[in-house]
Amino acid sequence: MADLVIENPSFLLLLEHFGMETALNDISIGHLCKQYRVNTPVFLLLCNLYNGFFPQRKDLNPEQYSLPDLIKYLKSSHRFYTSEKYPQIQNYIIQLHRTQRPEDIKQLENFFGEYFQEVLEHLAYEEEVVFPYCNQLLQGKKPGNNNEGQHAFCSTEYRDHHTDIETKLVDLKNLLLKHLSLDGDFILKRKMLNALIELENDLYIHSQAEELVLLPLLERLELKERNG
Amino acid sequence: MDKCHINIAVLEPSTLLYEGLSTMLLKTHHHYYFYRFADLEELSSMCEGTNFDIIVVNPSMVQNKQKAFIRIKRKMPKVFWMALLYSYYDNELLNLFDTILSVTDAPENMLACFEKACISCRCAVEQGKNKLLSDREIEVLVALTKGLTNKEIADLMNISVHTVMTHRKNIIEKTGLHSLPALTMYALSKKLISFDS
Repeated sequence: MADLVIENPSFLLLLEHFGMETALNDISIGHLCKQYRVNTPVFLLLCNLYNGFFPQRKDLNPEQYSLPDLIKYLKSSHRFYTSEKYPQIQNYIIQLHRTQRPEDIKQLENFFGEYFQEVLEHLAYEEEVVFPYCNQLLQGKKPGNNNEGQHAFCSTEYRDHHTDIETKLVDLKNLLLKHLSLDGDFILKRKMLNALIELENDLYIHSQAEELVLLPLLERLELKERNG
Repeated sequence: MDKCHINIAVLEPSTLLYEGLSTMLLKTHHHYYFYRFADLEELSSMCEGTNFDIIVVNPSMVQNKQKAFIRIKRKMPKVFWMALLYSYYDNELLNLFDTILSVTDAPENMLACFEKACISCRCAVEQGKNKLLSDREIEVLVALTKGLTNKEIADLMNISVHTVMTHRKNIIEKTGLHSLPALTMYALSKKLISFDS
């Protein structure tokens, strides 16, 4: 496992999302998963995503992949966004006040504020609608019968949400990198860009995990449920 | 960003041909990276994560799957598509490719073909770097930040809605910004609009 982290440092975040200790010694992935009681196929699947390999729909078998573990990962990354990454970037923007004209920062602040709000709404939607829906399915309850609203989420809408969140982040990055000159705030600009890039990478993996793993697994479970 | 290596994806069932092609290309001074795919589905699942420059396809892999192929092509607009032939295919299929290679071609000609493709990839990258918006594009941008719709902009500038869309596409490509708030910030920072407006 340590070799993997050295090859791709973003694995540190993956370990963190699963609450795994980073003193890895020479422990293998299998051992690590056993130790932390994490479903190995799910962990491997996410490792592959972090390395840029996407799963094939046909390989996703709900019996093999543990949905609760996947949700655990997704929830933990939500926490990472809301309580660490976004506040960090917000903090950088506030620090910009020291050197920049207020009217320039105002725009950036508004843009980021609106964007952050959108992200919070999306994450709340997942926590309040999508994840409980998964749990219901797992417990074998027929969703939709007791609450019509729950079935309202569909994969295309879900995807649009993601694309929107990612697009705005790319915009923010491009604005900083290509167009806005923050005179005299070189260090802050670098810190901000680094934070944005880290966030962008993790958000990308996050949305891929939801679209390419969570949704197909859900659809299979739904099918199973319907066929009794 | 300087583009120093070229990513080549290969859809070719014959291992002999794949190995031959990659060995031949690796002997040149270019930094080619090879990725081999078993079928269109596999390529399609990978296309979002990797930036391919050239994709070499045995047309048999695309035959009867033209629609899926066109979809993938649309997803990867910057790719240079090559067909690698060792039997006959009709023109309708071959027209889907940018260029056609035959296994019987002389190695020099094949290499020259790849060379040309590399240059066209680089040109695309260079063109993307062109940052300044044209006067008309600035007019469209300013109108957009004022909240005008495509139709209103078209009427204002005496151009068709289609042209407005083209300008918008170019603005996005040149600035790298998609959302209206970001474009507004861009316009402000370049002093194309003022706070009062």
